[in-house]
Amino acid sequence: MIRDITLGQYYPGSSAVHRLDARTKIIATLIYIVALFVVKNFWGFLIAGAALFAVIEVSKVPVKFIFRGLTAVFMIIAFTFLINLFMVDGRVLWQWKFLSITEEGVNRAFFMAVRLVLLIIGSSLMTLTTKPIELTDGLEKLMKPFSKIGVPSHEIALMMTIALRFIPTLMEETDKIIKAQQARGADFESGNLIRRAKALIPILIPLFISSFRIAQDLALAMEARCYHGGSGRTRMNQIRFHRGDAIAALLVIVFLVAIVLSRFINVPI
Amino acid sequence: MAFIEVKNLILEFAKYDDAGKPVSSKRALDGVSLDIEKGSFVAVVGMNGSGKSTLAKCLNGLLLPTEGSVTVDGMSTADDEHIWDIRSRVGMVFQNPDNQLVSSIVEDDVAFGPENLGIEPDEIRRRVDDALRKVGMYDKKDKGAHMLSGGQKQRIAIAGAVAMRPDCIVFDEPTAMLDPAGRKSVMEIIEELNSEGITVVLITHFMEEALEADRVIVLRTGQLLADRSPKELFADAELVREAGLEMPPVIELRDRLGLDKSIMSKDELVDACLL
Repeated sequence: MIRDITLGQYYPGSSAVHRLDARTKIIATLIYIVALFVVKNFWGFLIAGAALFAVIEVSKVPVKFIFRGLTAVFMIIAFTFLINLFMVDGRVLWQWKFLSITEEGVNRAFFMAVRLVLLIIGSSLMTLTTKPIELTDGLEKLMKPFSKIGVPSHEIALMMTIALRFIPTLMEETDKIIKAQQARGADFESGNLIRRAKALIPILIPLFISSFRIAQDLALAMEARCYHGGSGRTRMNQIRFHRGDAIAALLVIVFLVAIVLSRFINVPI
Repeated sequence: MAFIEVKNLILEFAKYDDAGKPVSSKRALDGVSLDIEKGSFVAVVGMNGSGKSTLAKCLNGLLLPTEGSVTVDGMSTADDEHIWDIRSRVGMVFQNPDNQLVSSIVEDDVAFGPENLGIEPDEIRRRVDDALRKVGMYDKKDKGAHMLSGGQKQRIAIAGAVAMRPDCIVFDEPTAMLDPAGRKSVMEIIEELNSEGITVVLITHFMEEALEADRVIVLRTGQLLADRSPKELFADAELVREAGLEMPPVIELRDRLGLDKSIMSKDELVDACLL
């Protein structure tokens, strides 16, 4: 079940997007997200959608793969859509008792849904084309200037690396505990929602304990390998900006200008 | 002067009550003294709770002596100034292959130790490639750690220690959680590292692994029971039983067949039977 969520997954490849510096991709994604909130009308989304589609094409990540990630957040999108549909005042199109749909509501609902879809696809595209380890390295480098004001950039990056490393280990551990409980007659499948949630407790507690044990083992192993914080530490993989990153930066600027200009288009779509 | 000198080492773990006050203490090591020469292969054996893992953790300052001292190349592990120098010279490989890898990518994990030492990136790359070749995992260098078998993960952990270019590696029951194939490959690597001049301290409860060592140290309830060559140790059935250990299968078979006491390996045993 957890394996179906594409948000945060990596799709191996060697396209121009994959080869970009992680920092470029992080910043570009941030600008893209901000741009989505600058957008005032559907022209802006048309530009953002076209840009996104172009990047997907270049990245060679199958569109089907990307849309599969959307199904996991379908409920959120549907909920946002319905709330906006019914809650906005304006010229009434349809009414049933206290429920009413207005023209403005329909507009707003589609607007918000498109924004969410573009947001999710855009940010999942970043993780799909960047190795988790490059992503954490990039974040560490980007946060470095903030370490002067006390942001523990190295620690945050290391925590993310370790978290990523131990996801499969903890999943295996969970599997083992579930099987052990089932072997002794535990029932996780029948009963109503509350009952099933309660049945999870005997899984969560041993999992919690074993994750502490793993943490202790790992801490010892790290100490034995001379880990003593981020100061005086070097990195094997030096990340550097290349020509591709300059081109990408240029394209992002063009995109941002286009989005800002789109606010002044008054022709309805 | 020996490379590692353990002098009258006492290590106590305090027990705490619910309020966090120490109520009693348990002696895990009780007056252990031994020397480990550079380039030697020392096995440490003993029952569960004999203090062998505790001893291992004292050798690189993960645990500090309550009394007595541990010195590595003349530096005391209790000396804060030298602790990182000691740990870079005495590497360590632990029992659980899953819980000692830091990074999800094989080569990034091997690079973790050298990165902590602040070595130049090009040199780290060279060391990582070297270490991975040494353990036969070079072709898996950009694989995910979770895709590997237990034995392969343990080889990565060994590469992680080797990449720091230590003089000595302490192995704390490295094969305990592996299948026979993984155990064999790990033992072969350990022997090869030793033949290249790296001092090996192998904590184990497999007596056939202790047979490979130059010297076997036997611990019982935190005390040094014996410190002798495998040949001498396994000639003394009384002592082996007293330590709560078993005879290695080869020796057991040799003695039951009434063969010559100089036979120490499977190959020699087979030869003696065929003659």
